Amino acid sequence: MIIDGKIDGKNDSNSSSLSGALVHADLKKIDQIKKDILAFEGVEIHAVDENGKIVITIEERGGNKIMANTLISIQDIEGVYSASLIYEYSGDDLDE
Amino acid sequence: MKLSRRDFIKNNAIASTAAVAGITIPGISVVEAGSKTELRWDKAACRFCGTGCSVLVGTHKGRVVASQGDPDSPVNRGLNCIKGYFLSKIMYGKDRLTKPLLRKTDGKYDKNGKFEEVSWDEAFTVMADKFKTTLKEKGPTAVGMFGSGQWTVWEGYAAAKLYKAGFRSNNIDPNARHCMASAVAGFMRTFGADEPMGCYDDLENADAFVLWGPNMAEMHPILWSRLTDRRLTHKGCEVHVMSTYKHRSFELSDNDLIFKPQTDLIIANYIANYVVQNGGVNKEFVEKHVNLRLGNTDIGYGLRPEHPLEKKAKNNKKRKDTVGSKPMTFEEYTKFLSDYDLDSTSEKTGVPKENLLKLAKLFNDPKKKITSYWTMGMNQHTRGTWINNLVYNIHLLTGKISEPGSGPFSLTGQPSACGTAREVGTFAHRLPADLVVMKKPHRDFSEKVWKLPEGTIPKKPGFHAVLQNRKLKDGKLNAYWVQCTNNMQAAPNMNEESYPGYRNPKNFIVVSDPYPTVTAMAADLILPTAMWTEKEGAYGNAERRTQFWREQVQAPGESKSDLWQVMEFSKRFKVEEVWPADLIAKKPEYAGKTLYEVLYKNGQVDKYPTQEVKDSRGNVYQNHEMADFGFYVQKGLYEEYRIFGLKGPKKGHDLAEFDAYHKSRGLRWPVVDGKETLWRYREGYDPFVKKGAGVEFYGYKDGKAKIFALPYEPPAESPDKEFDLWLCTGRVLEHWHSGSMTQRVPELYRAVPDAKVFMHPDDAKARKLRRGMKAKIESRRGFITVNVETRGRNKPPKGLVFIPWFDARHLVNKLTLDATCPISKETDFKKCAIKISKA
Ligand code: SF4
Repeated sequence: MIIDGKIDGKNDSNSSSLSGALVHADLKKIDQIKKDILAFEGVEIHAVDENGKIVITIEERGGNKIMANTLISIQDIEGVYSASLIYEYSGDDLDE
Repeated sequence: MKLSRRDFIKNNAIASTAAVAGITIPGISVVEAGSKTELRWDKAACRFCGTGCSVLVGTHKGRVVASQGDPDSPVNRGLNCIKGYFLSKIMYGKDRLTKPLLRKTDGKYDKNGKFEEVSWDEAFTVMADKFKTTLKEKGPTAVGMFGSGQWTVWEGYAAAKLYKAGFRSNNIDPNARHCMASAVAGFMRTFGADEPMGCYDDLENADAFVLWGPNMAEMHPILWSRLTDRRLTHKGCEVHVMSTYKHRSFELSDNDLIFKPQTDLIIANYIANYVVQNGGVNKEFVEKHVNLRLGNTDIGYGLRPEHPLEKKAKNNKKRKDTVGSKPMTFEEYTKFLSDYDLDSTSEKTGVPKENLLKLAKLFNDPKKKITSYWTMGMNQHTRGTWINNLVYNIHLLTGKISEPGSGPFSLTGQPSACGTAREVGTFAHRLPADLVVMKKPHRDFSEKVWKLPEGTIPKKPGFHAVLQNRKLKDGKLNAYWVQCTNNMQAAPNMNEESYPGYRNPKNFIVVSDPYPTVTAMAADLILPTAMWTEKEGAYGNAERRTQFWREQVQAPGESKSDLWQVMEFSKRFKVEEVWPADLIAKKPEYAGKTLYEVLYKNGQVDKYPTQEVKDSRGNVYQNHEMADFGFYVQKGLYEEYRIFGLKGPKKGHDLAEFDAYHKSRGLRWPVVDGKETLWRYREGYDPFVKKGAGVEFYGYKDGKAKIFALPYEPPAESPDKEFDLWLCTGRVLEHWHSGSMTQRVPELYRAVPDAKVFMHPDDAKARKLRRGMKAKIESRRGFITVNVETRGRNKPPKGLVFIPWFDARHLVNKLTLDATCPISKETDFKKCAIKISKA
């Protein structure tokens, strides 16, 4: 008898999150990177500086849980060196 | 201006992010977290990796609901990686354990029974009975514990004390054996003292970074973002990346070196040879600060003694032969190195000559400040101690060490592999603050601090991680406790060693965990455990920084912290049940007392009465251990442990007093007069270096470090005709280690739900496999079935595949071989032979 683990990763709640993230990108490709970032649902760009740092927010609505995949996909964009979360709020009371 | 709650939070998200980036956005600023958000914010060290980021934890109505990179943290300066972001959710998995579970049939304990809920009293009664019977029948070597680099400092300390002093068994070892043991052995062997000399400030001071295998972009993302910053803003900064396969860190690379497994030993010797031949040696430094040694070779592979490879090896029977070495001259060392020339190195490693040369020239340049980084590739290696030694050789030869921007730096995997596993003495051979059980003066000193009779601590090292599983299987280790780690999933060769060991009818296995992990399910008794901010804690990160946090929320149900469990369990033993009469006769006042009284209520640990735990803003926090035991347990344990650093025989381990850490964002030891140490062994930074010495490697009595001449030796198992591929295991960004926490965060689970086999498209094609198809991966020890990935973030060369180990449903350690570095006893999880076919 050999066990394999069970995991319970599906325990979703109704909460939504709102987060702020910092993206570090290759300046040479910055225009395309900005376009690629804005193509994601719920994502806004708030600032870009001369070193290739981009301030974004990722907003979930109605429990659509896009945040993790969005951040991971942004990291996979060509020319993106890193994407780090700075701030997150998660709760079911965002629109109260 | 009237803001909706969403607008308000969004404003704060933007403002915090911009502040971290150093960008000002007109009209946006952080609104004081006040009544609007109703969150209580307090700092804590991240639960996951050894980077040791500080996070701000937002609590609302007794639940952690938010987290934020701590802007005041010198480590992460407000940043968090994706795992850090989801910290607020790791405690709330649906299958959180809330009651002790014991295997029973018809109301009684039965190894083959089903798990049933029991009270703590029943759990400890059965457990104590098993431990007592084992101690009585077989003695202290038949009880053991497997601990963790994720234990808080005081948890590791209390557990080590219970075993080494209480049960008089050195059979306690941490999971850090799987991850940092080679770094430890390497540091001890070269410098006579553990842990890096440098710190993260090297990231802003180096001219070049050399990665000896690690995928920092995924595994140490926050350090990677600091490195990225330096690379992009410091003129001429270079990044050299070595690995056995291409991964994300290569995106920033100026020099790609993909080498054949195990040949990092050759690369390191080639660089040393180049430096010696081309004037890169800092002669004055070498003469003043270094001794040269020729190390013994043919040291075996840490396999079971009856394995043919062990029978064949020469220097593997006695420890002193395995670690042995003799002095050599610089001429002899030069001659030794001369075999490692460019042509043969390129041929054996598979790295093009120009790339090798570029790296060698970098080290040869006296003006360049260079920091080397490594993690598991160098540590999980059958010559792990050697490759650590060889990288130190290069930094010592060139004098590029112990100064801002220059030095060899081992990145740590776990949050407190340094602070707990290494520093408080949870290894089978160690005692707190770099002391070891083999040395009489070290045992004497420990016994004095602990107020124990002379001869309490046994002098023989206990069973290390891999040996524990073998001894369980062989029925020699029978009462066994696992805390804060998922070793069934983590340890090598699960089919042949770990699983039969846990399920051996002779053994009683206890696992403490917040979740029903693979390890917990293989146990006989499961104890529900309070985790992370459900208790007051302290971690020590890779740069020697100790960080504290307060208890933020209550653990669910009847969960109790590891610390509570260890101390409460010790109440079940009378000294007479564990110590021989002649030992008690040396301290008659201990007669009739419990281990709890001898070890923890000893007038020292219980010195600090209960008090209110309060932050500077006046928020009051709970402390369950303090409430239950009636004194400030964490403070008492910490202050007793601190004596080892302040007064112990090994200098340079001084820590600040307890309260200082609650007030600061951590301090890097040695801390002397309230001042932390950034670069050890260098005058002007390290207060322990003698005046005028400049540099002093004071871990050794003569103040000198050692360069070891060590050759290439082949791995324990290499691909052949039948098992024709290399298997390398490792981690992914989204999951932390065995995934017991991150797989329970819905977002992370969805992002990366399953382990896949990353392979070269040609290797897939040759086996009639395509991306997304199911493949059977088979080694001599077992098989698993996973999906094929040919286009993902990891791009192995032909002949090698990569499978991550986070996935409890696809246990890659059914395949791995339990071969270890014979010196550090750390498993080589990076190399074994497998074959792949269509499933
Ligand atoms: S997992 Fe590591 S890098 Fe990520 S936030 Fe935690 S400590 Fe920092």
